[in-house]
Amino acid sequence: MLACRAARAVAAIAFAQLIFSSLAVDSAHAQYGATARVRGDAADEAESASSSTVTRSQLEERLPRSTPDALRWEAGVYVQQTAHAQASPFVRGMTGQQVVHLFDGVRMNNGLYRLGPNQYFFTVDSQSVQRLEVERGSASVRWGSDALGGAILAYPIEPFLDASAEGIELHPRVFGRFGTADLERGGRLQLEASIGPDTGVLVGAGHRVVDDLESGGVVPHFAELPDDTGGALRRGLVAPWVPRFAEEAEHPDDPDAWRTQLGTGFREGTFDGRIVRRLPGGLRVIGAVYGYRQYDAPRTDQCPPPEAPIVDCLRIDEQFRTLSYVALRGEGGGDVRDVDLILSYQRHHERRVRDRRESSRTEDVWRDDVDTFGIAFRASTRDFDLGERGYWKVRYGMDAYSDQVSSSAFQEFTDVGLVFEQSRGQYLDGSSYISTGLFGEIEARPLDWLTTRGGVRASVVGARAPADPESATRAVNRELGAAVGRAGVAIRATDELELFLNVDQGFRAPNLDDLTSRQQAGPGFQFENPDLRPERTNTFELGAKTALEWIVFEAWAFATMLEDGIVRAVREAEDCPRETPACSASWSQYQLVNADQTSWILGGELWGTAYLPADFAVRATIAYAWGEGPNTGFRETEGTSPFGERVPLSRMPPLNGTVEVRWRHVATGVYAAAGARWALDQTRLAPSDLSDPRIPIGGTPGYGVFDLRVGWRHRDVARVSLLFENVFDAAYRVHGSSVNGPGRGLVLAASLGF
Amino acid sequence: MVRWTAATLTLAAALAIGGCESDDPVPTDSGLTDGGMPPDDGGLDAGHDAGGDDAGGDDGGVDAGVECMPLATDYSPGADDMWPPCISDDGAYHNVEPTISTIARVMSFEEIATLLFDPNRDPTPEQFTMARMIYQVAEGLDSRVVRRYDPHYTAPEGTDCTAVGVPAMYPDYCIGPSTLQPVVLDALAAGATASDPTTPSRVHAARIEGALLYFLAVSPYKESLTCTTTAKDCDSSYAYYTGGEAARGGIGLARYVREVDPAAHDRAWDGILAVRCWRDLDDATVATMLEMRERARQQYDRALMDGVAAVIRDRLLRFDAATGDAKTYWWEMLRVFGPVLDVVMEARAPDRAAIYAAELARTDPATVDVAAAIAAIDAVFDCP
Repeated sequence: MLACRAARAVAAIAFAQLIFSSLAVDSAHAQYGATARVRGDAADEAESASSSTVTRSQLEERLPRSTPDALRWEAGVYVQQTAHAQASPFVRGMTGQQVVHLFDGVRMNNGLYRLGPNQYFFTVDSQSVQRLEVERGSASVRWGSDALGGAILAYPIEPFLDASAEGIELHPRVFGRFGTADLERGGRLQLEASIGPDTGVLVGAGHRVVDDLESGGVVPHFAELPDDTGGALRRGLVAPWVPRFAEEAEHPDDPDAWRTQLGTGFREGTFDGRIVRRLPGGLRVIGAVYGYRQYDAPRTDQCPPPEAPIVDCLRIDEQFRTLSYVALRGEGGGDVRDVDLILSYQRHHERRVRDRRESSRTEDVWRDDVDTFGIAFRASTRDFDLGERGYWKVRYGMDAYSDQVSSSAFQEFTDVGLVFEQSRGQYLDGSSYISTGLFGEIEARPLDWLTTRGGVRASVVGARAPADPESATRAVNRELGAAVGRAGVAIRATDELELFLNVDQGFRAPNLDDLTSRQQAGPGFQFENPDLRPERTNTFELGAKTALEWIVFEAWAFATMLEDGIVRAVREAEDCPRETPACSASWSQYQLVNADQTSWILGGELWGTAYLPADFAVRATIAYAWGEGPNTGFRETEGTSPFGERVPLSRMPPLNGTVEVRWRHVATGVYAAAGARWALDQTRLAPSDLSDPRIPIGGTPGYGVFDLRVGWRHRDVARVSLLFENVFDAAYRVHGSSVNGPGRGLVLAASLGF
Repeated sequence: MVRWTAATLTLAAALAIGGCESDDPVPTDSGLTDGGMPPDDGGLDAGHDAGGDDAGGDDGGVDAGVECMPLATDYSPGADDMWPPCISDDGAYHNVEPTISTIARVMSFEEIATLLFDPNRDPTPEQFTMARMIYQVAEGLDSRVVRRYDPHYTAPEGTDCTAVGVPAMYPDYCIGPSTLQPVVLDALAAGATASDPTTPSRVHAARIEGALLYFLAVSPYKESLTCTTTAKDCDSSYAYYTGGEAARGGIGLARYVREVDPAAHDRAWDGILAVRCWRDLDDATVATMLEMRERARQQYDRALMDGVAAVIRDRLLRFDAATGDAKTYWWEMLRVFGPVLDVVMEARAPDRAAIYAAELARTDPATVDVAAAIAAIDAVFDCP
């Protein structure tokens, strides 16, 4: 409720100011492939580490279905989808809790972020995003807990501050979008205003309806299966149980006709408001609110669950996220430069329903809310002289976030109208989680060709949760501390070639999900461990960047050591918490533990862009990650489990890459492009992957997907973009996903503004 | 369903008109024997022999006087047979996976049994509600009953019982969604709401017992089939019968069988070990030694169905000996559970199957020829 009120208040202020506005034109546009950075943080980070940027122009041409989907073309990022309305980017083989998400400098990760893939980055409205940045590798010095695999930073569209503006100028804009594969239809209304030379306002609202997604067809099991296994097995043999297809009912014997995936449609609404006021002396004050509302979004692998009646469905009835904040940014003078001070409030609301009304006359409902108050401050000193031509400077800052959790669960017998509240929800009602940290980084360039960087962060995390005797849940009262550092050196070997060597430490303090949650996860039932310690990484990174007149190219190799890794350990039914029968009844039981051996992730990324004559450009990426960790409970000696002491890490992406060729006629604004995404087979499976119905028997087959794009842009007034996706109608699935990729189809987007 | 409903209504009407006197209530705990089975009001022991000798009026029992030896192709742990050495040779069941979720479902069955399965007592609405909460826990019994198909029956290629409308087309094959699940849910709802004051609530409990026993009886055969592609289903095949108990033990259905036919129970254990032996020898992700698989599955199913037949035979005797609401209990339980033998009997002796089915289909329990039904069973299930 508080979030709703805050959102309404900010929106009301923004709209009130707009009443006094008039028209103007924003002409600022990033070029294709250009990196348009605004503030110092990300820019400096990008210079020294493996990172890349997705610009607004790229978003408008590639037409991703969501913000995570916009990262598919970035090297080292692999986007897994448990549902059509969910997506979780893997960065260097890690995802979920092990990658930090930030929106305009505000931390999105909260105390309820789940292990493994989660849907939370999907709640960033891609229509309100100006650019996305991916920082690969441990980044905890800068971003704190969770930045083990990397950081993903989203930056919103800014209202244009027109120094020449007088009075009020209004710039309305309308966006529309339609896709054939899922009959997506949506749009956004946006109004931008300049109020004099120093104030800009931008408000927008969007809505989207998505039907069930049509794929290129069945993605088969990787393993060769015998024909003679009995008719009853046929469905599970012909195709993995996840997903199910609408055409199965009419064509049970003809899997070639199966295309439309059940449990993939959803609805969403968005709103945002942003006001920027330029202050004397180089500072800006910003007030903003961003809201996301998702309804009726089924979890595809549970809608229906494998082998369950086709009418059963677990869906997210409501997923709301509201972020509001006030920020002070700019130059503070002296040794307080590049200031970013943010006070934020964020509320995440989730209501899930397991609907078994038709088959079993029952329904389960869970409701989890988390309110997060945050403060973050980042700034840097001026450049101090270092010798005749060198300099050094320090970047410093602090952040603190406080989560308050409410959680409940109900079961209803729908035929007799009885409703029972469970003693606890997925989390413990009244839990809290506080994360604080101080950091400092130093950058020194003693010589023209040598730059060195180093940094440290000290963090303290507090977790509190009440006991629930009825469910035999222990109280949690933990304080966890962590200190991490980083060091790096950049050597400019020639004018065109720069080499990098970095050592970064990362950490992730166990959050409330780890310490208190009980939930049905993909591979089985997972229950809490209130005694977990933080997990830590040491990442060693070697890179090279080349920038010639016609080509830019980067190559990175990394090795990440994960110590005390928080992993699922196999448990037996008798280990299940008391009064949690869903645990012992589950196919598999897991408890999170700190692994007693080091896990390794090794890999690398290559990407580059070649600028060819006649306005052609070619961009390509390739990435690989290999992960291995200790076996946490599976046995090698008995039965058919071919496991040893060390096993592959779960859901690691296979070797994958992209190629894009683009032509753009500058004079007319017409462009055309072709793109391909590919991945090899992934047959290195973790033990838990083998019981994960999202992964076909034997592994996930490789694929190649080819897209064509054409479009036209007239300055900043009009834009039309057409995507002909999956031209060859490939049936494909990103490893670990519940959803097969869209089949052949068109996506059309247009915008018109003044 | 129609015939069951008609029979139920007829029976209920007869009871209402007759104004049968209820038996004294027996507390659940004291109503259970060491083996967990409630004694009926006919005073019969739970054992197979007692049932056959004292109350059956038949030839004296399932195995009496029959020379019953395992087949030459059967697996027996430690025996000098045609099976290669395998993991089962020590006589213990070795899990494929460290944990077996099926055990929790069988435990749930036992919890429900404690609450409801007593022919001498009418459970309260609260007990039915508690039973339903146990039954419908996530990933619990309900989640499996509703998806259970019975590979004893054949269905056209591509038949998917999870699809809308298919269970009605193939009710025997899609036994869970077509029959068992509605029986259980209807009975749980009727018991929880006490919506029909003319029907003793133990009638609803009897139907639940019959449906859940049917589910437990067909599940091992299904799981041993799907073990072909999902090795841990062999664990389920073992646990749906034994509840995960150690060698030669068992709760759930195994408890019922062991009490009335220890020989069948013992042979069922050999069958369990045979299935595990096959999957040990055939340890590829997807099994390929399908001839061995069928040998093992048939051995297991033959013994298990023989044990189930012994349980039904025993309940027929109890029904015959009982009076009042207890008699109704046994009849309702038999009408739901009894058809589990139909497909096997039909395959082995169609004429006997017809007799058996005809007796269980009678709308008036007073007209049931118990001896004929038992004779049909004995003629078919002569050796596990």
